[in-house]
Amino acid sequence: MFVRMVGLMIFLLASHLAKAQPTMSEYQVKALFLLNFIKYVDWPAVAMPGANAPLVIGIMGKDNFNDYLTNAIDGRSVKGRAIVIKHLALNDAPGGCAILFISSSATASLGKILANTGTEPVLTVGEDETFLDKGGIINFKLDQGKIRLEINLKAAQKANLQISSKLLNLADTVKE
Amino acid sequence: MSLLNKTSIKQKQTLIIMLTCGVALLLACAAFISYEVMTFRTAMVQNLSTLAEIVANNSSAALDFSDPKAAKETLSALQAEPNIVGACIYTNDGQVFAVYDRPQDATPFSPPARQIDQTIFSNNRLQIFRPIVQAGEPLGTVYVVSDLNALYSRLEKYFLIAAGVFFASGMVAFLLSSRLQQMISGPILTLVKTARTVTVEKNYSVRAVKQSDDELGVLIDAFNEMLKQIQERDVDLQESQLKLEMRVKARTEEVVNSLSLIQATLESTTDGILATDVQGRMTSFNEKFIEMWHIPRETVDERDYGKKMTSISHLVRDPDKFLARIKDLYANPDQESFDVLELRDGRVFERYSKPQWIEKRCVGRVWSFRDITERKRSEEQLERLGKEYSAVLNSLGEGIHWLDRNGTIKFENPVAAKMLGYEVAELIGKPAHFTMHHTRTDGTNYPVTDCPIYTTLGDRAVRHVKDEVFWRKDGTSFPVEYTCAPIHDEKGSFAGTVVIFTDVTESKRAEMELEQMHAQLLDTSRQAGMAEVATSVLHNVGNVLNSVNVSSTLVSNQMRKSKIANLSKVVAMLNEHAADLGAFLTSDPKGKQLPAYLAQLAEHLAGEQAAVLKELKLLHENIEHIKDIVVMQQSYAKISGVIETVKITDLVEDALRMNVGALQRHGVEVRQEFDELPPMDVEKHKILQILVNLVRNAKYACDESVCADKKITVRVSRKEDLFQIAVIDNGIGIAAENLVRIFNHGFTTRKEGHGFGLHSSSLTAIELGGSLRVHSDGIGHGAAFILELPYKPHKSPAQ
Repeated sequence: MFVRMVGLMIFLLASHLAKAQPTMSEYQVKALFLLNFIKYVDWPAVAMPGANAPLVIGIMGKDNFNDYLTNAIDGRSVKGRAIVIKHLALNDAPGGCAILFISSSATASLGKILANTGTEPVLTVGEDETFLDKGGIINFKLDQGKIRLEINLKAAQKANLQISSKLLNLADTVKE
Repeated sequence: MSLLNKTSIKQKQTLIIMLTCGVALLLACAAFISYEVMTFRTAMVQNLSTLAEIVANNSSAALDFSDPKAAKETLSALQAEPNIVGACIYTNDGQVFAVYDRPQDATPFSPPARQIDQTIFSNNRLQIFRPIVQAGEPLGTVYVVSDLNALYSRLEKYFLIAAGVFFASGMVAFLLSSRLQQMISGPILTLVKTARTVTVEKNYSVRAVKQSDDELGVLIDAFNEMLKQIQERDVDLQESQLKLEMRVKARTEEVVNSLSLIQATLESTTDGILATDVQGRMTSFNEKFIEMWHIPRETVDERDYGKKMTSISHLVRDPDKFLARIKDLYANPDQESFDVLELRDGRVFERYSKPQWIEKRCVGRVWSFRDITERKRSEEQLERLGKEYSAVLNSLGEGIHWLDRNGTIKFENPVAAKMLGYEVAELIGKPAHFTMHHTRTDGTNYPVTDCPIYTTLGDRAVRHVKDEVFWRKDGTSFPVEYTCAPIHDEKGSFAGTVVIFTDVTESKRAEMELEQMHAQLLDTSRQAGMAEVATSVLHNVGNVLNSVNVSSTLVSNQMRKSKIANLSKVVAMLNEHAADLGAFLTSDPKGKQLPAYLAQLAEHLAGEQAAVLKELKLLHENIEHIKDIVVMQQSYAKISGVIETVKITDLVEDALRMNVGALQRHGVEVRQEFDELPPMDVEKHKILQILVNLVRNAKYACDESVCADKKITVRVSRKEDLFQIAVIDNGIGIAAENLVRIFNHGFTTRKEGHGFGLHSSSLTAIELGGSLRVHSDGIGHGAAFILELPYKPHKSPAQ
């Protein structure tokens, strides 16, 4: 009887957790996605100075992540590197960042920012419909409450970044 | 197993090879299949792992970026593998992230509870859980489940192949083995065939043919060697069997011989014999036993001795004793018994029984019963006889002495002792001669060497002695006559002399009287003899007179019939014609015939005269014969016969002549067959008398016969120291029953016969030292009388 009750409790808990997932907020998901990008993108050696040098995620514009990103990182390392969040101003050179998230708040200056990155090995991630056209590499698109990816493979190649085909497979749109 | 036992070695060999091949092949196939299955499983696991890992790898991004759709797409790539039943992806917290279900399955695939990294074979399923890791970070788990159809279809294929291989190799093995097993079975079959030939035909001379030098070759060699030995032994055996058979045959013959001997002995003995076994069953008995005990035929086969004895015991006077003895003897089987049984019917049996032993073991008893009734009787008779004899001896008028070989008195009867004036006991053991025979009648000494009694002891001849005297105890003597004869004991050896003596004092006197009487008697008998002789003579004279009578009748008839009367007629005729006699004789027809007639008459009369003269001569001879008979009668009356020297043949011719008239009259042919004999000294008339008698008899025999060719043969011949005169006729013959009586006085077969002729002839022949015999083959076969007399040729003084 006891075993059954425990079984039942576990079942209830599990179903609760399963239901909890879709309730994650948009930026919570985006934060996870940002971190996951690291696994599917290979940076050229020049972009990664030391073996143990932290991988920097730069955020431009308004930080909507709140603590989500920090929580998601939670001190863990990806590809053997610690992850550091760096808030950048719109004018800041993105050099030193592996990933540069450009918030929707910076949409106005998007062109300028992306031009600044130039051929720097920086994975630019945005949340604007025009992001890819403006030379961004990965764009978060909101589709029926779900976050979908759009990838500009040409821009990636320009930035000398290798994006895993797996990631490419997930993308709704791959611009070449 | 018995089935296997029955199958031939050929089949067995094939079976073994096939079985071996089959098992080896099976094991090989099993090993291969197992190996293949294992390999295939490993391969399957590897395959599926690879697939799972690919899926894992490809679905990591989908997980990372929460894209179940993409994951599902990835999973749907598994459609290329038809064995995969289903697959799913779990998130790190165990939630099912994406599911793949094989479209053709009826039952939908439901993901199991997540496991981390696991390979499970179960329920015809291969299940694999593999972690999804991206950049060293676990993202979730992929689960792939495959059915084992591939394995099964592969197994099926393997089994098919295995079966094919099995069948094919089986065929090949069968062909090969049936070909190759001949190498083994061939010689064995040859061996078997040979063995069978040996068994069926008992022919040990056959040999198996050796085909190879292997162990079978050695076996065949050994078999052949064995056969050779058997053959040799067989020959030996046959030989010894033959010997044995011959011995057995010989033995059997011996046994049969001895059995038949025993049987014959059993049956030939006068004893009744019965054999019984220890159980008292009758094993054997002879006919005599059955006969003696009057055992009924129908109960002969009843073999129970006890019953049989009880049933016959009533024949015995004392049945209880009889049966008790039997019982007693069967209680003591090794005893012999002997007793005498008296039967109610007066018979007396000796019963003797003896145990029968075979190798010191008593197996029965043989009883013999001897009927001693006769013996008893003769013993009694003997005893009686003995008593009678001694009574006779004692009461005998004669004295009897038995002297032993030394002349000592061994026995004497009381009469002898009394006559000699002794007691019986006194004389026994005394020398006979010196006791009573020492002195002769005339008073001189009588030497023992002259004593006839003692001589008899020497030469064992019987002697009758007269005119001697025996001397009494008191010195007086008496005249005796005695006979001494040798006596033999029961074994036939000489045991001395018996002397039987009589006191002849009285008989001497009687003898004198007897002598007188005897002389008188002789006289009387002489006269009686004379009468007989007279009859004989008269008969002879009568016979001759018969001839005389016949002759005279003949002469008178002749004269009566004489043609002399015719002569008178002629004379009368001549007288009548006396005047013209000449004319009468020449011209008269009667007269012309007269001279011839006269000549004829004269001739006739001369013949008549001759016949009359002849008859008259015969008459004369007969009368002479009568004279002779009378002379002979005179000489016989003088008792001494007249011995004359004559030729026997003359005598025979005389006898024939005396009868010649009668013989001629009756047309009897006489044949004379005379051997030449010298003149002999005989009593002529006696012989003549016999011969006349015989010839006459022969003539009568011929008379009575119807035979046309009447014939008498007289034969004179010499036969050693006898001469024989046989008178043989072919007349009426003599019946066999009369042959013995024919010489009896008064026997005759003729009406006018007086039965004296042959009787007196026979007596005369005997008197002359000869014999008269007769022989005839019966009525109608004639007869032969044979007179045999001593052959005494005359010895002339000149010689």
